[in-house]
Amino acid sequence: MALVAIGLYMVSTKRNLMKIVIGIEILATGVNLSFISMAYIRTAGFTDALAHAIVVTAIVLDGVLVGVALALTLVVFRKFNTLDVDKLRSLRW
Amino acid sequence: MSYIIVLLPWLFPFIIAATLPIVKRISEGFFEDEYGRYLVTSGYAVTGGLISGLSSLLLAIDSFNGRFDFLNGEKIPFDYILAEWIPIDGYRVTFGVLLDNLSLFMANIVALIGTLILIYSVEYMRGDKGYLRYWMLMNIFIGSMQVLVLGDSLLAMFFGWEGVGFASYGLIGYYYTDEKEYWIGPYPPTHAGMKAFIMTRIGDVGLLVATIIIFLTSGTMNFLDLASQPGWAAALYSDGILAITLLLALLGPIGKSAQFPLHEWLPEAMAGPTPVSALIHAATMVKAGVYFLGRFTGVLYEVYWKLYEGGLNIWGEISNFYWAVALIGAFTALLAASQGMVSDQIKKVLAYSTVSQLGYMFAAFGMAGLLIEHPEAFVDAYISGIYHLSSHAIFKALLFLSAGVLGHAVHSYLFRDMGGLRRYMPYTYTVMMVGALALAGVPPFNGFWSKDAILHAAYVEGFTAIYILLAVSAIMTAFYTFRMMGLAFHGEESDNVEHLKHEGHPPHDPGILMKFPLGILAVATVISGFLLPSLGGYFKALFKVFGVTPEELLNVKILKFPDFLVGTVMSPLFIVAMALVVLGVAPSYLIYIAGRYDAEKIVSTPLKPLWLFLYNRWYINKVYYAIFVDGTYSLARSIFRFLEETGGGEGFKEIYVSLSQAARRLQTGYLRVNMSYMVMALVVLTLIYMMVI
Repeated sequence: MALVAIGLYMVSTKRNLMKIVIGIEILATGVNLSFISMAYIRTAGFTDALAHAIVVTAIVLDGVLVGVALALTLVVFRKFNTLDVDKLRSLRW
Repeated sequence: MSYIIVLLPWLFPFIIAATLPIVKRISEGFFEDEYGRYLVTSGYAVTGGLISGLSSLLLAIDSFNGRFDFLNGEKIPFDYILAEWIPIDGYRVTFGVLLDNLSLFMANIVALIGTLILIYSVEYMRGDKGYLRYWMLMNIFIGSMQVLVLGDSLLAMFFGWEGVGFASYGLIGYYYTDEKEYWIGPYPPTHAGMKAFIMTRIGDVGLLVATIIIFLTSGTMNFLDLASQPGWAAALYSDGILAITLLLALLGPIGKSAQFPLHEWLPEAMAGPTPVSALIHAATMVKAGVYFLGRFTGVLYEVYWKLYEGGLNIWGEISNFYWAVALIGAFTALLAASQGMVSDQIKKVLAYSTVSQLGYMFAAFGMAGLLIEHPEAFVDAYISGIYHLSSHAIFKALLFLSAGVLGHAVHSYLFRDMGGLRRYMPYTYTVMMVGALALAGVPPFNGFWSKDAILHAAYVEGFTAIYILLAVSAIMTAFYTFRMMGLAFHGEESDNVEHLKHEGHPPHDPGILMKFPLGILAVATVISGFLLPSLGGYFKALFKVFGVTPEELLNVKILKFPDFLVGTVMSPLFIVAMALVVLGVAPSYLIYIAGRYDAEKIVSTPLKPLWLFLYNRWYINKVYYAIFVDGTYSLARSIFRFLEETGGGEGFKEIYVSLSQAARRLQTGYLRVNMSYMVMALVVLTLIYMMVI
């Protein structure tokens, strides 16, 4: 849960887009870890491997997510020549 | 034999339809000319109907001794459940194939007549550009119709029900370019397709609502479960809504089988290619409503007797429902037959005739329901309905296919472009005459036996009003049938025929692919008339299965073959039936075939208002258009005027502008603000979750 909090804090406060991507990754890792840790409960004498299966899938998806996020970051840098999210404010009225 | 034979009748046509475009594309690699490609594609499409027909025929033959030897000796009725929807407490939805005498009989009619019509279409549709669309829709139709017939629950049946509706819509509007030559009456084909779709949809809504009511009450949609667990009917009866629910369900068959007041779509549905009219709008799809009645009458029969044994008599509500069925049927028979007497297009005459004959079947099932307390009479009336269904499917398909031949020969379906064709098309004349004699009710053709069975049931059981309505319709039927034959084949040659002769293309008989189905159907028209006794024996099993088998039913006498013939011919009703035919045929013969009297002169006398009344279809169509079509248009126009021209729309604009100005303040463009919204939402949701727990 601490990792989730750290990730959320990074995404909310950092101005550099690269740091935000790193924050997203920390967030996802925190979620995965809490999934695994909560799956320790034994039902019917053995540990249900469903949570582990989901986490393995989620890790793969994280890899894909990083790829897309970095690609977007690259495009943003080429187009606007900055990574400061406070300067990227075209999504306003 | 594995269970795959249960899937073939309905799944195979869909597979053919799905793979047809691929086959057409492959055939383009092998054949340079369009004709070769066409033959490959259409030949492949015909196998859809053929396999479907052969497999259902095999199943029907297998079912003769009461169980399926192919299917590990399963007994009739056999419900082969393919899939089950997620089960919820007390509610069970299954998808399966229900094999019993009724469904197998109907499946055979659909697929075998369908195959003959597909073979006919190979020659009929030659040279048409959109043939891929035609063959796909035809196969989708046969598949959907088999789903409708073989489906084991109201839901499965509804799937097929909508599938055939879609195929019918697509095929009525087949000539979507709307050239003037394809118009029927004042409407282009696309308009006719839309009209058919919308009108049948009105009925389907009623059917759907009734299905949901029954499902919520009983927890099942399966026909066999509905019959064996009659608690739902008792519950509905105690709430006093049993008759209303059944009448809502009846709206579906009324729309599909073109009964009054939703009968107006069928005459326009003739805008499609003629094989479509023969298959969908005469032989099979419009029988779906009758089939539904047959199926549901069986369920109600068992429900009635089960509740009766349990001490609850629901006769009061059931009789209300069946009086509605019988009177709607008898009235529609009269209404449509009277319109058929004045129509100027051969296909429209046949369309009115179809509506009228469907009315006979409705009347038969209505009477069967009214006789539910007397199993012996019930079975008689029920079987007469099924019997008329099958013989009508055969002879009407024959008549429509012959009309298609005429249309090919003279490039028109108007009577004024025909006349005197007997000399040029002797084969067509012979087979069409067989169909016409059956329609008019002349013995020994099948139409006579089945129509007489219905009239007999009506007379013997004392339904005088229904008997009179049906008898008058029988006179009109004989009249318009021979008027049609006279106008098309006898009399003087029209200018159009002369013109065709001068061009060097006199009307001529069709090729072998068209002659073959016509010949088969003509032979079937003659011999199937003698099958009623065996049909009764076949369906007796149905009531044993459906019913609680009260003592009387076991004693039902199924007439043996010679007894039946002698009994029908010797009864005084036979003389009445003959008199009805003569009453209809005689004026028609004198006017149109012998030419003694001039039809124009007769109509220009005081009969003119009557003629106009009938020609304008009792003004029902005009009233519908005035209320629903023009009403919708004027409503749309007035709304448009309010919003756009008088400035009524300004108010709406103001509201949206102010809403937008209030909401846009949230969009700051700062990422961290958006993130804080997200965190806030997370916190709030967590708090709510904790409070609930």
